[in-house]
Amino acid sequence: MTLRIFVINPNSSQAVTDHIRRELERVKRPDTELTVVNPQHGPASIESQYDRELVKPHVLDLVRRANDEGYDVAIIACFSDPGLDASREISSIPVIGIEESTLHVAAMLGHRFSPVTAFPKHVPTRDLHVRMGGFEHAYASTLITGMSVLDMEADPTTTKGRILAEARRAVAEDGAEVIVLGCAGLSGYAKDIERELGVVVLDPTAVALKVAETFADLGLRHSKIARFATPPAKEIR
Amino acid sequence: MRIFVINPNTSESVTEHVRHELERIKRPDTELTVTNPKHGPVSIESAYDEALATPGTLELVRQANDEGYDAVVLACFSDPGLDAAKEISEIPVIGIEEATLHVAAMLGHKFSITTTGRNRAPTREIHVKLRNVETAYASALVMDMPVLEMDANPEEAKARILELARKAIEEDGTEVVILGCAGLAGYAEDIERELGIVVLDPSSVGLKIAEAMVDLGVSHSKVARFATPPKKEIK
Repeated sequence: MTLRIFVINPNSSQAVTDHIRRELERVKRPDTELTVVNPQHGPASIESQYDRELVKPHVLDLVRRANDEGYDVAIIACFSDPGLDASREISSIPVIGIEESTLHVAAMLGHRFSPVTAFPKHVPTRDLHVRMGGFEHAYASTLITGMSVLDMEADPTTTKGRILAEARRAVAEDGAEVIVLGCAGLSGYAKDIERELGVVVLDPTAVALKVAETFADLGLRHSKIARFATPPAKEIR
Repeated sequence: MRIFVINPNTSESVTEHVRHELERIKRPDTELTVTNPKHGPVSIESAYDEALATPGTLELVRQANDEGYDAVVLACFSDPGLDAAKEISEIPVIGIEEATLHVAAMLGHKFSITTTGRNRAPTREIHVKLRNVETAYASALVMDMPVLEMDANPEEAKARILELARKAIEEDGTEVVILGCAGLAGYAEDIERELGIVVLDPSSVGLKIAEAMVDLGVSHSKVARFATPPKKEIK
């Protein structure tokens, strides 16, 4: 039976959406059917908590659409998982965050992982998300490319070179055993870097797609006991 | 000193309640504006509600900056949009949850937090981790009472809290009780008198911390976590 997966790029950049679609089409199973979309409104990239807050209502609309249109799983394809908990509250199908799923997989692949991020500004977010997910002991460091999300997307060669240099340093100095490409715009860059580096490099969007396929195969759903319980019905003005 | 208090839900009755209580405890030289967004949920009882309440809250944070206020208080115990608010604000933004958790950790070995429903107990666990106060967290006291009902029915709310708090002192090692909802503003004194241990009203604590920050002339570090967001197109 065909598996229908709804992938949400939470930013409003069509170029990023097309990039993700292209990469995921290459790694999906033959019986998986992908819909990859972005909201019409909201920031063009997500590089602050402010950006994350502004995308959440739009992500939630798309999660509702995925449920209404009978998809099997939804994926939030931004490495900060904006709106993940709220999405699970309103969803009866599984919602996979590319950050959460990749951190779990990374923790199974090596003693410590290092996520790659754009700017020093994002390091505290990585620290906080690692804490929230309970991964403190598997966290080595955060690596910085010094390039914006849209630049990393537009210039793969420079981006890969910077990541390689940072990753080599992290493996040597920080105890990193797994590198996580912490931005959906880096989708598809993992294999080249891994070949040069010689340690596992994870592409979170690809990992999330595989986790989504697994959840659907196993017929899994989020527990609705407390954390992801359906929100009480109320007036929203 | 001019302090801008945001009730992030859209219920004017809750805003009135918070205003009434804060007017009683503010310093004489503090001038309060207490307001709520026009759009968004009437109460905040899920991550979904939080996500929908945040954009309206952020607009009000901007307004407080534009209108020359000295500090902002976010008066909802889940601090919706707090980090984003600090990013776009020059003046200090005080989340009543964050402020109260830090104060509670100085008042007793462990604290317990009242919460509306069972679905909010995990939120409390996650937030104590985020705020680095896990070791001081005893338990969530689940009231099974919606926010608007707590606001409308003080006697019933106080009785439930008292019963849950007594049990937590016996069983969970609780030394401080936090009223984890802005709708419970003003209920602390009565409960504390009966209970015999410290009961914190987060909106009051948030206001006093705001006054303290302004007196100290401090605001958020802009090095990384609360750095101003990069300018970009927002479609």
